[in-house]
Amino acid sequence: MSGLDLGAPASRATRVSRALPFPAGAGMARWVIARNAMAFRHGWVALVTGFAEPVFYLFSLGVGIGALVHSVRTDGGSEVPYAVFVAPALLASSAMNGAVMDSTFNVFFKLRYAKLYDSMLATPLGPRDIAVGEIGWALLRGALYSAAFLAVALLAGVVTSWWALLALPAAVLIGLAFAAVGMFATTYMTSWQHFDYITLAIQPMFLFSATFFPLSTYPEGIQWLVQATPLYHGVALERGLMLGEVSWALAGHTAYLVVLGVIGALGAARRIERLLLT
Amino acid sequence: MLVSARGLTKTFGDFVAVDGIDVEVRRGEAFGFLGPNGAGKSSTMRMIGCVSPATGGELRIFGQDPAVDGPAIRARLGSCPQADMLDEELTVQENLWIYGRYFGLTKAQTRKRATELLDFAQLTDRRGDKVEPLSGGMKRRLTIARSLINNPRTAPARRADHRPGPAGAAHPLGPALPAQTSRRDPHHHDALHG
Repeated sequence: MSGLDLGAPASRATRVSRALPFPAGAGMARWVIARNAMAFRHGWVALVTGFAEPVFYLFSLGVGIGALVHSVRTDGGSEVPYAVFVAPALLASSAMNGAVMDSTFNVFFKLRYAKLYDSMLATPLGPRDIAVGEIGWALLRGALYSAAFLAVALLAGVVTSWWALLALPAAVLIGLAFAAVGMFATTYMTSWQHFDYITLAIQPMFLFSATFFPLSTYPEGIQWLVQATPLYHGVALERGLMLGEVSWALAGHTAYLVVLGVIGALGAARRIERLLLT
Repeated sequence: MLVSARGLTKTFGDFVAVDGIDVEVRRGEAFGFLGPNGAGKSSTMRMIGCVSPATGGELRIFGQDPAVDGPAIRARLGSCPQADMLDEELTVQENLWIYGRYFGLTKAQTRKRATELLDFAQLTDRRGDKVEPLSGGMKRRLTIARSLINNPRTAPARRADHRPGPAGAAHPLGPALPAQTSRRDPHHHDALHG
């Protein structure tokens, strides 16, 4: 060996991780994030599209349809212009979309075709580092898009409360829940056709999670169904914050998303271990 | 003793891939597993590379147990996989830079080592290029260079027949790979060719 100090950086982290009932990791998830940032520098055009989509929706729906609808009575009971009503939902859905794209298509390619995780697992990195790193990267990207969207929403005058400062961390939380579950689901996919199931899950959520009209417009029997879906909780959380309708219900939405994120992250790490470390 | 196995076994369900083998590899040896397809060579190499848990028997790498010290053992191995598995989204030198970080090397250590290895693999003038358009032999050389980024104690290489072809035989990365690194570096490099 030369003077390079090897093995040492991993040792303390491995002692800790061995004590936990989780798939192994070496506490080096940040290098998975660094790898993605490095690759991203070669494909920064994706950054523009990820930001543009929700902004296009905001102007098309908020301004266009808003001219016809004028105002909406929210589930919190206040009367607001349509653009103000729809902006938080667009923030939540774009956080979902970005996280799902990153954690399904990109992860599937790396897992099945590029064999990127196989070459990572030949190093001290463990399955948990990969799961945490990939999800962490999806969150970083999501935070960037969400911050840009919030800035545009602020300039467009559709942000009405100081609570909106918390809309950014809330968007990151939505990203966490969807990225974790998305990556977990991706480990079960074996062909590109399986992505139709993702679309099948995402599309109805985007349209019907009280995104474009309040929950109260649904018949009672359907309302519980809507409330069971994760995007509903994301939309309700963002809407509560951006309109300043803050109540304990927001804690419930937050808890739902946190639980989903933790289950997804653990499941994803466990599955990568099963698939690649056999 | 670099590798010692006693009664090492690997089963997948009912299928027995490795059936109780005993192996000892000492420092300075170049050790190879030979056998027909399906003999269990790759399964054995995967267990030695700490990416596949042993089903039975005892396995020690550098005297450590892969089931307990997997990351620490992998930090000292240089694994050269059967398929290249390079990161095609990155450039040639970025492949080396990020791989060094996976091993916990500092940025300065990684950059210095990458510069040496690029020169060694005769890829210095292609360092800023994406990996995808490289020729098969160049990709193989980069894979070998990458497996040496952490200055490994042992370099398991799967499938020696995937080395550069006749044109590459005269190349420093040809038959004399481990010896070449030893000449460049006074410390020991022990090759284990599967």
